[in-house]
Amino acid sequence: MSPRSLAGLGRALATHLGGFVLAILGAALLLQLLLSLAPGDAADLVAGDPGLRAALVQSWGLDRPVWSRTLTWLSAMLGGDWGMSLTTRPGTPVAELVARSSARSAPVLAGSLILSLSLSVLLSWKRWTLVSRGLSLTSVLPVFLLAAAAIVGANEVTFAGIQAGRWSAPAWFALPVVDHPLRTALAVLCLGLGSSAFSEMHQESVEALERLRRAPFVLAARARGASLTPILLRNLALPLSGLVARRAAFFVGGLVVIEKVLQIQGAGALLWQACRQRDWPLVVGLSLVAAVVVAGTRLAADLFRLALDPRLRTAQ
Amino acid sequence: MSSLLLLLSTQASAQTFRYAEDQAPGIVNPLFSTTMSEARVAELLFDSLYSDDQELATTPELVQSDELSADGLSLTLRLRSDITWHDGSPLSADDVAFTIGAMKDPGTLSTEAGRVAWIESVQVDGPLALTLRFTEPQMAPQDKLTFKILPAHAFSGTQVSRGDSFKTRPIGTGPYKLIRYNDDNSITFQANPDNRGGQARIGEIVMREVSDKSYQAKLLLYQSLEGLVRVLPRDLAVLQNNHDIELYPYQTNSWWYVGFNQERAPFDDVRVRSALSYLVDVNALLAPIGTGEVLSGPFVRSSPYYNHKVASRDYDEGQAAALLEDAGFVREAGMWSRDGEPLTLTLSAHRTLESAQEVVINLQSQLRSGGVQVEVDFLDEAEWKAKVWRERDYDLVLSQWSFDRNEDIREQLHSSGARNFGGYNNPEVDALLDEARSTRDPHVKKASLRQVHALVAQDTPMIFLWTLDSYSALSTKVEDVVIHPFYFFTWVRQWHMKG
Repeated sequence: MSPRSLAGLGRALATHLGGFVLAILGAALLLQLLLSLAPGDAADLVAGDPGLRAALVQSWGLDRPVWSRTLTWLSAMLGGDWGMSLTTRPGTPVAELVARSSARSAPVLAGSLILSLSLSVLLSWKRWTLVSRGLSLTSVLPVFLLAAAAIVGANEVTFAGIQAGRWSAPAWFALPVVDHPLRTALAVLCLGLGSSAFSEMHQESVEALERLRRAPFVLAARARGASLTPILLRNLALPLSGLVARRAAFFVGGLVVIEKVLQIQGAGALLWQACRQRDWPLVVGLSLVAAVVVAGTRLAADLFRLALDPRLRTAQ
Repeated sequence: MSSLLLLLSTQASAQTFRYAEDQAPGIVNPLFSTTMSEARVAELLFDSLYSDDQELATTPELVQSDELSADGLSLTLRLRSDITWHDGSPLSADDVAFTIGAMKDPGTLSTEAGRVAWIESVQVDGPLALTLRFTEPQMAPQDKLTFKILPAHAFSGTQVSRGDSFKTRPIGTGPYKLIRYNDDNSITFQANPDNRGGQARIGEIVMREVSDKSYQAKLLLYQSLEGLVRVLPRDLAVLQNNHDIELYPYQTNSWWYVGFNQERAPFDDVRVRSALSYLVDVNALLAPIGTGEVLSGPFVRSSPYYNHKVASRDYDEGQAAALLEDAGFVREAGMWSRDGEPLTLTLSAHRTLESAQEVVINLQSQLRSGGVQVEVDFLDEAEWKAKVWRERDYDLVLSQWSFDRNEDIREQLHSSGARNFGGYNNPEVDALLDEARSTRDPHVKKASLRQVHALVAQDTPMIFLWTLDSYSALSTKVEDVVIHPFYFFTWVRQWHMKG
């Protein structure tokens, strides 16, 4: 790599990292602000009398401005102290709750992204129109409806079999209250397909692949008799990495819905509960992790594209 | 398919009782309880000085004997000598002194501090003996000594933090031990072999969080649960017709009401409040959501304090019109107005109150046809506490109050009551409520509270609606079930499961 190229890469990296940090700080502050604008606070939920409420407000720092609370929280967080949950799991360290719930969400998030992407690429590559249309139609259904229908269907069929004496209750029965890998698989499937996740990704894959197949350098390679697969895959990786980065936020948001419907105790369900319970340290902790995931995916995609495409480095 | 299912099949232990809660307890420390799910779990893990027998009379639980002083200002207690904590340590008088001290300690910020505010001091007289001194004479202090006792040796002082590890590793003297918090928010309890009077007959209890209330009945039908704490009215018929499920009355001392904000015009005028109460057909509101008893005052009908001489108000549009006209309102184009201002109100309801939506829609329709414009505002828990309790920013509220056996309505109706967010103020009622709380004569208490009932019905700070018949549903595999009307698990020791 030339010195000019290296300098370009350095500048690009600095720009992207700066954006990454700003996005995360902005998300933490914005969510704190939104939560403070919602009626009621954590002390309202706990205290039955004004005296206890006043003491809790002071003890939990609810009387301080949002910016001051956020800055104090962020500086403590950098020192490893994420604070305690106020109402959702009173007294439990936020870091522990975030780590535990994120570990449960990670397979669902990663699985659905990989499923959606790999299915889209596979079907657009193979041009299996019938399967693509079937999945695109299913994909139109909202995530919650898809999951609810899957649960009801699986439970009713299984229970009918149990009643008829054809089989005994399987380990996953009844969904969604039993913690079983089938429930995670269902979450991956519904989030990866539903609310147009698959159809939009598939459509973009088809268009990107068609553009590539018509590109002069691909036509030239074909005329030379070269193998097209590595060329197409390498060049498809560029638009697809951008696509994944754009869709990451959608999947992170979708976690709240799918985890609520399937009762997975992940970060999405916990965030929803923490918002309802005005548990600001937990809300900020979880939203910070969500912001890191979204911004991190975008940063990784940008770096990936910078590494693959020298023109982007020079343009910086 | 069937062989695969068989391969994966598993069965809950025959001695496991699984029940559902809408929301798992956030904390298992009675010092910080705020929800009924926490109170039910506390009933499994902890004991109190006194509890209820199955006739709902106060009976000693951790106490061997007691003696109330002649002036009613102190109570000497001797604790049972056969009680041990889940970790094997013996129960002592220090534990009782610690619990009261922790609840009273301002640094603890306990939600239960009000339950011991009437206890002035605790004196430990020996390993199992202590004396409680009260701020004022007490008639039956035993009735109020029903808070859970905690082990002093598990804490380092009376200032207890919410973050204390006790919240997930509680030590009690109750019939069950907490074995583990599971990743899916369920909690597993195991029978305590050293429990007083012998080990509980059901070996294991699992509390499962099922946030979707409408799905709880389905899980009971699927036999994925053995118990449902409260059945939604719409699920009653299905469960009633299932031979594997039995319904048990779970009749808490609770009643529904529509409350007025009396600090806001025109609801500060008793004529307007009364007129609106005549425009409400309570029976028609109740019919779609279940069965129950219509009330005329702030007690359930079975209460000794309920004044049966006070009749509940029937729908009477003529009476309502007379009262509104007397208050200066005129009816134009079917709607009431005063000085050109239409009679419009906002009805706020708690989003989580079961069946509230149906009641609100029907109430809105009734008042509208009576000439009153009604807007509806559904609030979640935090919004409710902030807008209604703290800021008093509402016109009308639809809600319910639940009480333990003491049915102490002072906080709701006394002008200085912490829960009197409607701003009701009647010095005569205040005096009667004070007398009911301080008297040592049960007849005086009964007479005072019945008089309160009559006065409150007249003042109409709220429209008293009904007590709703409510049920728990349990699998028929569970036998000898008796459910406490408030704490649910009080008599769980005697429950057992077939097989």
